[in-house]
Amino acid sequence: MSTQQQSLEAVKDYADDYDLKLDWLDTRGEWGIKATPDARKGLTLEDIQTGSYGEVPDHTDNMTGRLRGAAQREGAYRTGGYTVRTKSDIWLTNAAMLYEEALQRQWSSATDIPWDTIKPLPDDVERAQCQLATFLTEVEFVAADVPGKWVAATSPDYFEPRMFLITQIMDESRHLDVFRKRAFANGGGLMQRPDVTTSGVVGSIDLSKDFTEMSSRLHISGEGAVLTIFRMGELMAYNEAEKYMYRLCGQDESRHVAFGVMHMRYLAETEPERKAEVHAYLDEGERALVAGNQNPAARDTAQSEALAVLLGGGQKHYDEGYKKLLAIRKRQSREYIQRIKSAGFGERFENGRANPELMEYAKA
Amino acid sequence: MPVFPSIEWFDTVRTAANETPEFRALGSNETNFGVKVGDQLIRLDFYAFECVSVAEIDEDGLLDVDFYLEMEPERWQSFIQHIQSNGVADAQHTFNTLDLNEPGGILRSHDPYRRNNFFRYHLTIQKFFDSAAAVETTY
Repeated sequence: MSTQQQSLEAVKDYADDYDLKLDWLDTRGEWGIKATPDARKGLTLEDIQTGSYGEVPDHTDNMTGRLRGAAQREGAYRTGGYTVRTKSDIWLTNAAMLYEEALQRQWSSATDIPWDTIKPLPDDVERAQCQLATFLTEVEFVAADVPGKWVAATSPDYFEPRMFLITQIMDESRHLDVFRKRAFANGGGLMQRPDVTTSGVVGSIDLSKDFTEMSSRLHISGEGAVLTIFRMGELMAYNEAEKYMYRLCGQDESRHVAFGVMHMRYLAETEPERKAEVHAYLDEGERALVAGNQNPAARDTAQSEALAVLLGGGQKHYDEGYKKLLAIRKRQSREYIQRIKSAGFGERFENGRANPELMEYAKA
Repeated sequence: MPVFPSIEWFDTVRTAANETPEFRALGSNETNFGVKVGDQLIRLDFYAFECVSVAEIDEDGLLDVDFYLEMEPERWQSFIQHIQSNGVADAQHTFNTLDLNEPGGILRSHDPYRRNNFFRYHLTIQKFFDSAAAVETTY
């Protein structure tokens, strides 16, 4: 039986005899790779991080769309205007795992939500639900819109976080659609759009010139706050459909938060000189957490009033609902603090830099 | 008939869950967590689409898990009995709701990042315990 090498030599001899050009056969990445699937998970991206293919460059000038490990081709067009070409700008240790998890834990807003469990609600409760749904559709639109820009800006040498962002776009699109469907599912409709989701701090997510700047605003401040709201969904849902919406959205959101925390941790460990800059982003994010429209549990917004109505069980029980809202705010603040500590930026809670109002919320 | 809490009980639930298509269909996991029932501590390891092992641990073992769920034995008993009478945990009995309603919560962790794994996989974890509906149990 001939080996692969013997077969190749035979093909080359044949090519020589007939003056055929087969030099492309020698132009390739590392050869002889045989990735082994995980017995339970199947063949994952982690399983193919093998040999030089698993070596991620600290910096790359690859502007041509060549995937990591493929042989270069002379004369390739510079098709990509990649601005993210430094590993620490976007990297995290487990992007491949989060990507695979995102693929495995997809769901459908059309068929996984028991829409038939929604029954007519009192008008004030329905309006509050629709107000919150209006807010969430716009927030989720922003959360899907922003990563798209960064997908196109990231070098293919860092395809793992890039592909995770693509799953996030899918997740956020589904969140947009599930809340839009909820607004139209029970005799209501969309209501007042939030004042500043496309301006102010949330709008500034899209103005970020640096990936970490964007991620600190989107994944850490924004999605972290919304994750707490989704968790509280159990307490303000009026039927199984709403409970499922919040539960399923919550698991997606926690994956996005995990991405942000792990990226921040990687940056803090590899480029500590950038920590001061990140603290400045966090200053801004904390102001929004306590008083901005990015956070539906912040004070004095249409959506915070809607939350109080839903949590209380109607407009008549607004005060009771507002007390529950304060409990949410406290939990949000505590979870935020834990998250930032885990990301490697906990010193701001020791040195007085953290927002005093936020710290008061956490203590209350 | 398995006694709750015991390795035998968790192993029986583990088998039931792993054989449930709805449990596997929720997607892949990679987490380990503790269940604290009074002084008794059980560690569960989830990997890929199943619960791969259960084991008894001591207090130090809690430092090695992503998070743990702690309730008094009578609360756990009432939780399991609710699942067995209802078929699944209703919204008032999910771990998420119990954590939100209980002063101080029932979810604990030594690491905030690993604590987040509860939220990533809470549907799977809930479905695992829902599999106790078909497990005859003594306390």
